[in-house]
Amino acid sequence: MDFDLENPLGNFHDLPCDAVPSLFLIESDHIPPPNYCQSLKASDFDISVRRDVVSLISQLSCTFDPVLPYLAINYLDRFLANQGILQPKPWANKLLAVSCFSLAAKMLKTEYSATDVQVLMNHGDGGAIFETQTIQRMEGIVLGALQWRMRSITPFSFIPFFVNLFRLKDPALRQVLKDRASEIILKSQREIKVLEFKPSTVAASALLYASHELFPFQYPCFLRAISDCSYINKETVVQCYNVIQDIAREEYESVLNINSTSDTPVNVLDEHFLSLESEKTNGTNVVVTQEQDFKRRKTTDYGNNRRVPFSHFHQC
Amino acid sequence: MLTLREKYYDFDQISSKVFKCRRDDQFFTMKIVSILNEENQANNGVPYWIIREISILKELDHINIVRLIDVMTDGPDLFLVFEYLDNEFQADFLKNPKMFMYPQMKKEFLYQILNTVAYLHARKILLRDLRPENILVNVRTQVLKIALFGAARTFEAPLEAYSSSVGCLSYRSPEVLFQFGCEKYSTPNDVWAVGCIFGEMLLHRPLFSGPSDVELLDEIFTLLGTPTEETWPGVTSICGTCALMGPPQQPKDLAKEFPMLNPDGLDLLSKMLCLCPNYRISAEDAVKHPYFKGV
Repeated sequence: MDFDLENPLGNFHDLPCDAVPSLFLIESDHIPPPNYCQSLKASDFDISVRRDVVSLISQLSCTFDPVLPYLAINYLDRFLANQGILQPKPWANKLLAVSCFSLAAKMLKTEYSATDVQVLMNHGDGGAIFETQTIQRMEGIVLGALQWRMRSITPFSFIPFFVNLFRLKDPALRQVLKDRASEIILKSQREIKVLEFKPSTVAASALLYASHELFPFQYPCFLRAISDCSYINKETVVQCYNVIQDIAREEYESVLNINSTSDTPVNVLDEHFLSLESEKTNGTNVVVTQEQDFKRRKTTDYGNNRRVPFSHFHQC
Repeated sequence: MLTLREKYYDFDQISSKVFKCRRDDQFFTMKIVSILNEENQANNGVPYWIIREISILKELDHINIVRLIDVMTDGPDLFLVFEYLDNEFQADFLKNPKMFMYPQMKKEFLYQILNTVAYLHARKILLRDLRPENILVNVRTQVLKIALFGAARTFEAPLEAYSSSVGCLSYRSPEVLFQFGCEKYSTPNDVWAVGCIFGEMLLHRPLFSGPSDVELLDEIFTLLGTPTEETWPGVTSICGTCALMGPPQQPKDLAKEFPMLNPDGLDLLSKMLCLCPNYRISAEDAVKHPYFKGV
């Protein structure tokens, strides 16, 4: 038996028109239960533990396909939802991170070097080197907690389906859109707010956000295509879109604050905009205000008048 | 968390690594899988293919698939707990003589197989190795069960052999045989296997039985004709060596080869055994075929 984990829906054109893609029906089986998000919020400690392990997983998988860290973090969330935070020890966090990473790599048949993992995990503090048996036992614990249901359906699974709805004909443009949406999905997973939404909703929202960035004039068509999809709840997509927008904005602001150079066309345009504004006024606060006004205008494109409080966010 | 022996009891050995056991009023089949013998055990713990296969089985909930109910670990061993099939379920269903008495039973069982394959394909799960040995039937209740991942009682080979591509060739599709060694399986290959099983039900012998890919392809082309660019667009580029094609042959008349089959059945069989994978009928469409009217 085998399945294509990266692209479980396969080619959209292969599916009969009247077939209901069953992944929409079963995706909820592969995400943490609804109360997980609330229980995380209730505890600052739990949030910090999750953040630490997510960071470790990201370090381990920074050179791999984005599906790998996403899958590993999904295992982490499902494990924490099932077992709770076991013990407040840094080495336990590392062991959990390595185990989730290793299991995700196995599911994706991805080769990796155990030595590289050891080196990464020991960087910084003079931490303990994990015996292979220790990792295996931890893997067994995670497998048991997840009831061996390791085929998590992720937002990446739905991207080809939705991109086909957009009817972009140029393969290069489709790839650019997919890449940007994947980047957004990966970054948004770090925020617990996104955990409340189903993978298909996250995928739809990320694609809409990416299309708004990259193809603003075609955005209304894309929005209509998503809205017409019978497997998607439009109101939920709106909520998720707003969450993703907030996360992407924080990412954007952190880039500006750090004054790092970026090749992203959107950032280049906005840096130009900011420099023009700074030439007109002398006050930093005024620039910030102008930026907020600009973003509020972007927000109203989606018919949402909610004001977003300005906050400094520094990427770790 | 209950340990193995606290959760299950009354163990009764069925074969070397398969036990019948009980929990409350229910019976189960427990299969022991040792991961200690894996060559990569020292480095990587549970092998990826075991995790992948168990993950798939855990997702499946279908009356015609032997259900994997529980997985437990104890040191180097995995214990897979399946639903129990009593003695009324006969393994290797095509060797059951009652199969050949009632034509309606063949249709019923064929429908159940296709329904199961359609269920799996809807979840983008491929069988890849569907054959009569993996199928058990209860003739009295007319329920069929497909046993996956060593759940079949007759399955004694090591698991490593099971996961390798070397195995029974009789149910491999021509596109797979052309690219032997290259794992480019897809859903049409499973449908082809069902077509072979359908033919075997009718003829009481395997449709194709050559011991090698070359001989199998020759048997296939003897019955269905040598493929051309017209009947199978792209076949020339798939067929790595011209020798695999052999001399051109004309297709035989299926109606004469399968005189017991009505026109609807012939139509379905020919569509399942269509040489071109892109033109082959899907399991989803096959279950709606007129041949199954009244099932």
